[in-house]
Amino acid sequence: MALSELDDGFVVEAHTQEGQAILDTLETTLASHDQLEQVEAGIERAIRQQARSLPDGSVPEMLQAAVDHPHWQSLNDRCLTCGNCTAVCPTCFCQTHVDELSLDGKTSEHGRQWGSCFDPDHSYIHGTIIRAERPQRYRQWLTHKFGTWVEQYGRSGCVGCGRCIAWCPVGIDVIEELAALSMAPDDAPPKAPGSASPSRPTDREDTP
Amino acid sequence: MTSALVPFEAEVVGCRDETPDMFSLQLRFTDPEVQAAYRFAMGQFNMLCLPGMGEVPISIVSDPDEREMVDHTIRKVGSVTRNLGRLEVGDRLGLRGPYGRGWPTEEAEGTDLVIVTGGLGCAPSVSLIEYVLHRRGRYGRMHIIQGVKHLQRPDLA
Repeated sequence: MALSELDDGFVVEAHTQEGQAILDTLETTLASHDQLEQVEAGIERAIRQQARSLPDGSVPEMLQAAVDHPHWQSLNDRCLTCGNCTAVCPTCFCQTHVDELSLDGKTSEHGRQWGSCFDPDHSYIHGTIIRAERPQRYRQWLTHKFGTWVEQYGRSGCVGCGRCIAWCPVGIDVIEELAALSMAPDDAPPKAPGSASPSRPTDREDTP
Repeated sequence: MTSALVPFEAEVVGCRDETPDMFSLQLRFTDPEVQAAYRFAMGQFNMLCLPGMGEVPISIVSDPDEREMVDHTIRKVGSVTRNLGRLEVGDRLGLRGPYGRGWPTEEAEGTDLVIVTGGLGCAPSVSLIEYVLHRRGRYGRMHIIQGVKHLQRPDLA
C-alpha cells in the first residue's frame, strides 16, 4: 500500500491483493482529481529533491571486487561499531539467542533478542571472533546490505531511507563509502582489514 | 511441528569419544512427534543448547534417511562444547534446527564430485560420501580431498 500525505489526510493506493484486502476494510472516500494531482506533484518534488545516488553499475559486483579495497581500513579511525545504523535500519533483522539462568540455578530461559553484526560476539564461533577488527564488521554490514542481500533475496537490502546516515554519531554516510569503494585503490594501499589476525579469547562461548 | 527458532528437548541415546578432544553425540527428540517431523539435508547443522549455558552450531553427521536419531561430532573448544562432552546416555539438552541450505545432491547427479574439507569439517561430508556410495550409479568419479594438521599437542599427550 502506498500512502501519500496531503494537508487534509492521506491518499491510499493498494498495489497488491493483500493491500486491497486491507484497504477494503477501511472507511475511505474516493480521492478527487485535484488530490491525485497533488500526489503526483509530491512524487515529482521528492524525485527532484533526491540528488544523491549509488555508484553506477552493479553494486554487488563492485563490492565483491572491493573486498580487499584499502578504503575499508579508513573505517578503523571513524566507525565506533556502536550499531546505531543496524538499530535504525528498517531491514536489519539480526538476532542473538541468550540463555538466562535463574538465581537459584534451577531454571533457565532461552530467549531471542535483537542483535547486530557490529557486536564482536556476532561473529564469535569456535573460540574465535572472526571479525575482530572494526573495518571487518563495517564491511560485513555494508557488503551484506548492498551486495550479498541481492543474491539472498533478489533485491537490495537498502530502502533508501537514510536513517543510518542520520543516526551515525560520527557521520559515516553509506553513499560516500560506496562511492569511495567503487573507485580504484590508490597506489600505496594501507593494510586491508582481512590481513589482521583474528583475536582468540581463551574461554568464551556464546555468552558475553 | 518444529519451529527452527524454538529448541526442543532431545535425549542423548549414544555417545562416544573420537579423539581426546572430539566426541560424537547421537540425539533423539524426547517427543516422538517432533522426532517424526524432523527432516534435514546433508550439510545442514543444528543448534545444540545447554540450559543456562548457551548454544553452539554443530553439523549433522548422520544419514538423512536415519529417522530415529541425529548424529553430531563435536570438538571441545569452549564452555558449551566441553560440557556437551560430559553428557551421558539419558541426559537431555535442547536442539533446534536444521539450518543452512544443505548440499545440492540432486543437482550434482550425473557429474563428478570433488569433496574438499579441512580438519573436523570432514565430519558432515561422511554422510555425503556414504550417500553417494549407496547410490553409486547416479554420480561420476568422486574425489575426496581432506586437509589435516598434525600439531604436537602436549595437553593431549
